[in-house]
Amino acid sequence: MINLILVLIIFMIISIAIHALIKEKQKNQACACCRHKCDVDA
Amino acid sequence: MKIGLIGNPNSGKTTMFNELTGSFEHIGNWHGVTVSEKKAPLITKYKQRKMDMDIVDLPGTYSLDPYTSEENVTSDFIKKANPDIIINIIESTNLERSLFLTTQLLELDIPVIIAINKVDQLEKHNVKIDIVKMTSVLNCPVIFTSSLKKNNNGLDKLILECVMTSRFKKGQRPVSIDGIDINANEIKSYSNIDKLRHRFIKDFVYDIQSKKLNDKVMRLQNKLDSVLAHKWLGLVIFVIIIYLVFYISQVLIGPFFVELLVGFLENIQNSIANIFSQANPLLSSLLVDGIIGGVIAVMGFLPLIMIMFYLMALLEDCGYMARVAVVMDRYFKKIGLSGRSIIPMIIGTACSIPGIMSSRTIKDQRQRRTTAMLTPFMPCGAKLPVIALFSATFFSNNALVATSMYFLAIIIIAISAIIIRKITHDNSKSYFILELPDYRIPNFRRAFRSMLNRAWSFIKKATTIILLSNTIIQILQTYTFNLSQVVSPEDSMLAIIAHPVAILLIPLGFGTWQFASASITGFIAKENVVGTLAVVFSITNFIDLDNMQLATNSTTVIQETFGISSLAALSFLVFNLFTPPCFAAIGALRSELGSSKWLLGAIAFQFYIGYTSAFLIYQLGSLLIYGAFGAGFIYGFILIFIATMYIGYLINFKKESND
Repeated sequence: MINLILVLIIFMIISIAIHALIKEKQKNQACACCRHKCDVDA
Repeated sequence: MKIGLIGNPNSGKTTMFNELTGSFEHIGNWHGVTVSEKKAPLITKYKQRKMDMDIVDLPGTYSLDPYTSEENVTSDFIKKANPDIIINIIESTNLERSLFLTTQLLELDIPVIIAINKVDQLEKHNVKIDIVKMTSVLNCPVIFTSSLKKNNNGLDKLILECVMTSRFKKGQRPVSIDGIDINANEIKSYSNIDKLRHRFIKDFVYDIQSKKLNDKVMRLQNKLDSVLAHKWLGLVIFVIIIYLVFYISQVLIGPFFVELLVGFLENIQNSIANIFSQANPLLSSLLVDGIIGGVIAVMGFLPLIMIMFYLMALLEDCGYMARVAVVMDRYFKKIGLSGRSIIPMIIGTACSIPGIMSSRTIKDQRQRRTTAMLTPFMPCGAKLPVIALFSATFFSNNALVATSMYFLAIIIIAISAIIIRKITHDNSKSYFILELPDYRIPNFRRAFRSMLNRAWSFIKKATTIILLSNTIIQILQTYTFNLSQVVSPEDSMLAIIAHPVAILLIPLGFGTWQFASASITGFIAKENVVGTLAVVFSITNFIDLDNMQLATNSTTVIQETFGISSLAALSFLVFNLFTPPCFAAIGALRSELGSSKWLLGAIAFQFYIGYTSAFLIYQLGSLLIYGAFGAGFIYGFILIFIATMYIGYLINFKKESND
């Protein structure tokens, strides 16, 4: 049971990270289209 | 309703944009910080009569005839975006220069509202402006503003004027002199128009402005400039200031906050480890050591980075960085770069991407491309954790090592610029005109906001791309290619993948699969170097003051774990700083270079520079310290010799083609 919970948590963390990454990429692509400056500062 | 903010560089457009829209766009007390347009809705605080407005911030320009690509953005916006109103921002103490653009804007069929910004400077400089006369002669509303203030800043009045103007739209009238309208559509010769404009502006400013020079302020400003912008003293002061920035951020204040943050994160990690103590060890290790441990290793450096960004923002805001550009100009001109090249490089100390993007302010194509290519050599914020880790672990004076990395970057940029100039055989020189902003007490709140903005980007990277990379690294080093659990780390997928790269790194002193994997993942994001080292060496965090004692420099634990000498550590640091930047920066480089040939050349050249610098440090250092060259000298030398010969061939080949 605990292993299943652990797998679910790892899967959830990875999914959230991938989702955030894709969202950020889409935002940058949209910005590039209309020449808006994006939040690219590190 | 769409409102465009247009004005000269450094007139305060982005500050006004941030205040009107609640945005946090990067601002700097100098020319060329904004290079592309930004749009955001007006915040409720300034809304008048519930009218929705979109505010567009544009790069600064002196005229509507585009000279550089970012000025083109402003020109294009006016021609194609059909703004409803233009707010022309004029710097209160620089009317004569600012009004040239105003006269051009008044010729367009778009209502113009003039905002005389930075009014607080008027009192300081003993300047008075007659805005009633200005309104009647220019035939458009003129409002005093001070965007730095939160209240009574004139912005509500400005927005109300926009609403009124949009309701009672009337055609804009060009200014007239001696009964002749200065209208570009009617007068064909551009030189004649410009002469008319200048004549009009000179007389007009004489009429509306009364100026008493504040000798005391001017004398102090000039005295400061004679020291800070002095040809060699300015350079020495720059070195001292950068050293102080590192000393304060990495030695004096940083470690205290690091201890607090790491202690907090470690408690969370231990609690999670306890919860899953009964679970499968591989799975719990993936979560606790791979995912959480890797992120903590990178996040531990956040306080150091935040303090450094804060200090850099203060330096930029007080007007010092513009003096640095002037100091560097005379040296940069000699090596075939533009004095303007220093601006992208200073911006690049935060992140290479905006640095590379700001190189578009340089008109000459060869200088622009060279600047974009060399900007990633300046250590960016993402490289700071690598610098902080290696300088604190292997060297007693870590602030000095960190500072020297910046000046090594400047030396490498200079050498690279000379090589590129020889390859391209372009000896053209350009002249750099930078308007020096007045010195001012930096705005601590704005610097704090800038720091938070950059810290947030760092946290986003640590919890997305670095987290994913660390997860993959943890899986790759836990399993063999048969998907069975590794017995010896040498059999892991990661070790096998990194092994060929490790062979190439032997002449640099760190030819092990762990360092090879860290170097490879560094191309995804430079913070990954630290994250990967944490995972492959099973060190949960590098900055635990109790266990590792990194801040007090008693660093034998990490040194022993890494198993390399201080010389090899320095070589690894240099290799990671000067090889190609992360993929995102390469993407920015591709768009700024505008040529795949230049992009490939840039990447190959950056590899050459990074590899050669690390090779020289390790091999010459070994010769000096141990009396013999280090391992792999012969084949490293052969690789570098072949690459150098190829560069020599390119230089001569072009020379012959030109002849």
